Amino acid sequence: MPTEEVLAAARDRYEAQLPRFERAATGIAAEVRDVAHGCGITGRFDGRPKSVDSFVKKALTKPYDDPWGQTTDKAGVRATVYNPRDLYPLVDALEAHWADRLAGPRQDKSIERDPKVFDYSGIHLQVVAPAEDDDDEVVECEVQVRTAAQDAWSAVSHQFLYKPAVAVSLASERAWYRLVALVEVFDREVEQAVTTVLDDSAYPQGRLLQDAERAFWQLTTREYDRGLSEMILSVAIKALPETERATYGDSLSTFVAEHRQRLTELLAEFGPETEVGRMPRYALLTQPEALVLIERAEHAQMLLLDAVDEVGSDMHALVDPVLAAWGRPFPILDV
Amino acid sequence: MDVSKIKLRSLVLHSIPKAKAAEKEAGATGLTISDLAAALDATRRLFLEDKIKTALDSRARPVIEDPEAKSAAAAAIRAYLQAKPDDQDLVATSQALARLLYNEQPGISPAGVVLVADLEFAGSTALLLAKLDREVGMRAFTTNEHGQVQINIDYLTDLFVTAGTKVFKIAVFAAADIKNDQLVGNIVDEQAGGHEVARFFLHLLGCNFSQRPQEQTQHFFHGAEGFINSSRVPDAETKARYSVALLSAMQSQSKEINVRKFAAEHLDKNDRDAFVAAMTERGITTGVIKKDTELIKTRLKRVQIETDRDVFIMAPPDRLEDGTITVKTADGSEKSVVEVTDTVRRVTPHS
Repeated sequence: MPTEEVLAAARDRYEAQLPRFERAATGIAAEVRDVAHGCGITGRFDGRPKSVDSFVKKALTKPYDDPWGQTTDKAGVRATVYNPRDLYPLVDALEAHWADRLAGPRQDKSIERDPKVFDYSGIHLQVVAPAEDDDDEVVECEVQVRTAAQDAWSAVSHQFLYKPAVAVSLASERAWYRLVALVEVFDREVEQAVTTVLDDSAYPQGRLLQDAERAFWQLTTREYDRGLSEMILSVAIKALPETERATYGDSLSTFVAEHRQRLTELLAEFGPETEVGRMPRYALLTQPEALVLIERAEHAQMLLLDAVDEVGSDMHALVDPVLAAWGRPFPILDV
Repeated sequence: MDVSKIKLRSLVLHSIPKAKAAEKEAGATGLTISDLAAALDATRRLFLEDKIKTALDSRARPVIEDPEAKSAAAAAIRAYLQAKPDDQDLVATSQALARLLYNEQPGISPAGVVLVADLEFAGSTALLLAKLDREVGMRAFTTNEHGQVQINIDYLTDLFVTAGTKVFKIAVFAAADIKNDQLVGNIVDEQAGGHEVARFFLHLLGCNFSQRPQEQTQHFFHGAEGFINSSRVPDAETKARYSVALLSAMQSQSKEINVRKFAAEHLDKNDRDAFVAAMTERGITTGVIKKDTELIKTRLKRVQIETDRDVFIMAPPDRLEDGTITVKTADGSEKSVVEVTDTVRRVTPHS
């Protein structure tokens, strides 16, 4: 148990350095997001520093002799994966990414606990944040990797079990831990259901249309020809490597946000009510897949060209005008 | 050049007949000079922009005005670009350019249309001069006489841009690029690499290409080599295959290197965009380079394989193509297997 002076000094120091831990948490969260997206893993990735009162409470509860040194989660990141099957691949990828920055081995709560006991089962990594000029010591960050169900249980139980306003009875405590059984069952069921969806051959293209539609409706309220979209996207998807598909919605949204003004002008200038919009040659300019074609032309033009070439001149007749209107036409290779 | 920043604002067209030397000498031009700018609605503007952007993106080569050439066309373009907006007379400038082009073009040049356009290019005013040859096509049309429907055909001889039009003569100069009173811009000329007689367009504009073909070819060769030997191409077998393709392209009879065509024909699908991006990063055009291997000819005679443990193999590129030397990735390992199947003639010390 720390003395009151030690605890007060630790609290004051923490309060003063809070912005540093906030930067560390935010930076590590961005790294986690990049690594996850690089593996095609979707989820929520948030980083924040521990609040000052939580820091004090933890020091008193544990209790630590050296509250400053022993509190290793001053900066924390929570990575919640949507598909439970992605949990271990993400942890493996993060360990590889931080090969020379890990401050210790992974803590896998599901392996460490007694199999006869129901308890929290996330995976924790302790990583060193990139140094800053003014650092007087190494800044670490605790990264908790969980499934959505584990996260839900953890968030609620943290509030009512770990930090209760009133004493928890044994029966109530048992009820909380009993819920973990449902968490495990929920995760297994989700895993199975997700596998069924992902194994459906129509899924990648359907997902791509969803992504395109979401981006399209950020710019316009217009309806579109779904049959035409499906035909074009069956080609465009070949220009999207499998590793990029799971996170393509985010990539497309980012692209649309970056080029919002120009895209809005393009859709407005050549909308269905305009003379150009009514011409078959420019039919795709009023369709959501135009955004996918434009984004692919900017980032993977040669892959897109190969996909369109595979279908032939009819597909070129539809796609080429969109790319030329955007200003990234296919190269002429046959002259 | 970044063609996404081009926007056509207004244009003037002039009709130009096939240039017959005798007629030109007699002073009969046969030109039809327009007194007004062409009507330009969204459809026409977009279609013409399509064609201009596509041709420039694939074939544009940077040029710079040669002050010694004292080109009247360059002077007219410069005067237009340097005038205040209210003083810019597109019609008069275009008329002058059309006459100059007609007088400059050789007798074999086909009839066509001279297009002079005022553009917005990356926030600057730019002037575009293009010569489009006449094209022919057919049109189906319906008649209904005495209750009988008949679909007939028209043979059209006055077309100048069709969906199939790809490359035509274009020159584009932006006001912001004028340096020391010299025009700096880009031209597309499908015939610029050929016989001197076809280079009248460059001559008309009094321009030279900014980079010599020898240097452009060397730059591309080094850029491609750098990509092949980077970590982006991890296995030795692929490196060897790409290297042989590069050497073959350099030694082929073709007079030009189309950078993206090289990628499309010789690189694996997933490497093509990275290759094009690597060229862009190094400031190498991703369009077309007039090939001249003068500066790299010694490099084309031998291919060198170098290993981590200082083993060097030098060979003519043909030996990789004919299978005398093979490079493969060893099973279950990151190592490579280089196999030479030949008769050893000599083993000597080498400094």
